[in-house]
Amino acid sequence: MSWFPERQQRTWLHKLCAGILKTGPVPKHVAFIMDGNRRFAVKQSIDRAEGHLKGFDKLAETLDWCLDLGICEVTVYAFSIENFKRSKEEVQCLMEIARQKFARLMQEKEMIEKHGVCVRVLGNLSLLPLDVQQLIADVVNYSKHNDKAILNVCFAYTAQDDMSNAMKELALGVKAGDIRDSDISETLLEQCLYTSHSRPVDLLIRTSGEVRLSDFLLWESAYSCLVFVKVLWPEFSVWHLYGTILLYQRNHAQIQVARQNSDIERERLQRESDHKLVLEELAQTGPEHKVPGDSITLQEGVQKYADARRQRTDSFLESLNARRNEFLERLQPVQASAS
Amino acid sequence: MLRMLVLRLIHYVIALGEFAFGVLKYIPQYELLFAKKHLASKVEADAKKLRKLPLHVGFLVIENEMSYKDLANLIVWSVTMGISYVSVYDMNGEIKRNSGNLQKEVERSKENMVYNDSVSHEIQIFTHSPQYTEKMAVGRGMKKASVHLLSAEDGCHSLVQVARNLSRKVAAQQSLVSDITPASVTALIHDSHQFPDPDLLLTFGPTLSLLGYLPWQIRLTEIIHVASHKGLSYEGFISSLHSYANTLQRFGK
Repeated sequence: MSWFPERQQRTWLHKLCAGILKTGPVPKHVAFIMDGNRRFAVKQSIDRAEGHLKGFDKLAETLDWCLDLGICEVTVYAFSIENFKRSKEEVQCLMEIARQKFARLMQEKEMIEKHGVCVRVLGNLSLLPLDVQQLIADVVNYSKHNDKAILNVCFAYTAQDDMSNAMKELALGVKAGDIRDSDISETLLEQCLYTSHSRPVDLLIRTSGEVRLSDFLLWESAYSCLVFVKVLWPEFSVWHLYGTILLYQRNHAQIQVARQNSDIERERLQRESDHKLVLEELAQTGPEHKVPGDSITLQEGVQKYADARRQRTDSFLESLNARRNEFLERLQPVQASAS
Repeated sequence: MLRMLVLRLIHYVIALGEFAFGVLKYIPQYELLFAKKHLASKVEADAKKLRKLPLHVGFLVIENEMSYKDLANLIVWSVTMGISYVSVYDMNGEIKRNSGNLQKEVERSKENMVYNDSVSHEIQIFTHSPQYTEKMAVGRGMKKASVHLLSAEDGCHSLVQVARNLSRKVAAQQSLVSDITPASVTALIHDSHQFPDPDLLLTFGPTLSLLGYLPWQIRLTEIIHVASHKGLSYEGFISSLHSYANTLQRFGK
């Protein structure tokens, strides 16, 4: 099935419900753990592979519902690093589906353009077979300039792997002298994650009735609304989506306050740390430079220090992003190996 | 204009209906009467009936008003069941600031537990802050259980500390960049926090969100949403443990 299924005629009831929901706050970024494909296959006594395909079809449908509601960014958990532990046949089957679907997406270029879709694939891509990596690079590079609708596919991903990777990058930066260890903050760590270009996750939905995150977006979902839905993923319907958004709307205000508090606290910690470091520097340069009560110089010093720090971290992040882009660009061209 | 108004009105009505439904669900699990005496032997027997018991249970409060009496009950029930680690979290650190209050309530709640032949635990309450960890104890005994009071600074910010330490070590050539793995980070975090990852997290309040609760350690935690901690009865608490005991984890397989 296509990534852009023929849109079914919306009934008046759908239109009414969407209209009602849009009078409240609609999440900008929704994340899905699409759980339950295999249990669905068992329940319907169909093949596992068939179950996974049904899961994909549901994803395509869900993306359309999200666009319709004005949700402009969606992140899905397609394949976890832990999933490599599954039987060889199943892993191969999932890779085959990925091959087909990413190749199919490239055949639907005009639809990508029409909807302005940007596809990002988040995860440790080097763990994947080379041809899958190349197909992914192809799609990501093709669509990276779009910004109307963003789809993040977490593939060969776990949140802990992502976070420890970010720590690796930071350690390399410190070792090379590009940044100082004191420059590392929540904001900087966050900017090294695969999701650094994404909006904050507003709503996280897991289907199949399991009530854990299973190593998905652990950092990013700290201030999102969580909803656990009992249905299996292939059975997820537009009504379930409406229900979760209603829940989100009821919790929206409280989460927003918490998020703001957390941002304020982050800023405070940053200011405090800059201040402390400038004082330490002053103490080291000797007492003759430290004039008591000379608070203007101190304030200026802190300002100067903060500017320098920002310059360091900005150029560090710039080179990190350039390196990540380069990795994808080098994987192309794909045509020869895909056919 | 009129259309918007009508739609908005319907939106309100739906929200109200949802709220009323929530209240109806809420009532049976709560007791609004006086504190009951509990038999420790009965609590222990209830724990034995569960297929599995969490090693570490977390309580996350997303409510504006804290009831230290109810939090203390939750702690004492958990410890009596044989749960060795309890963490109590609120984002802004209000519980940490009122640790003395909580300690007193834990003492009082323990008095409501009738021990007879059962062994009473020593409950150690740890209040973490970036500078130091404060420890208070309730009761004495061979069997010990620890309670960790946490807030947002123990979450993302402690990961920043780990990242800084690792960077310093790599820069000083005391360790290699390739040594930074999920497992090594987990080891560092366990070193500094002194408790295992939570197996079960009960979140209290109308909103289901983690609000910064231990982002690294929450990986496989079962998250169960309870409407409020205020007035939660022993039966209400045990029913959450039952739903935890009946889940099956496949660890990605």
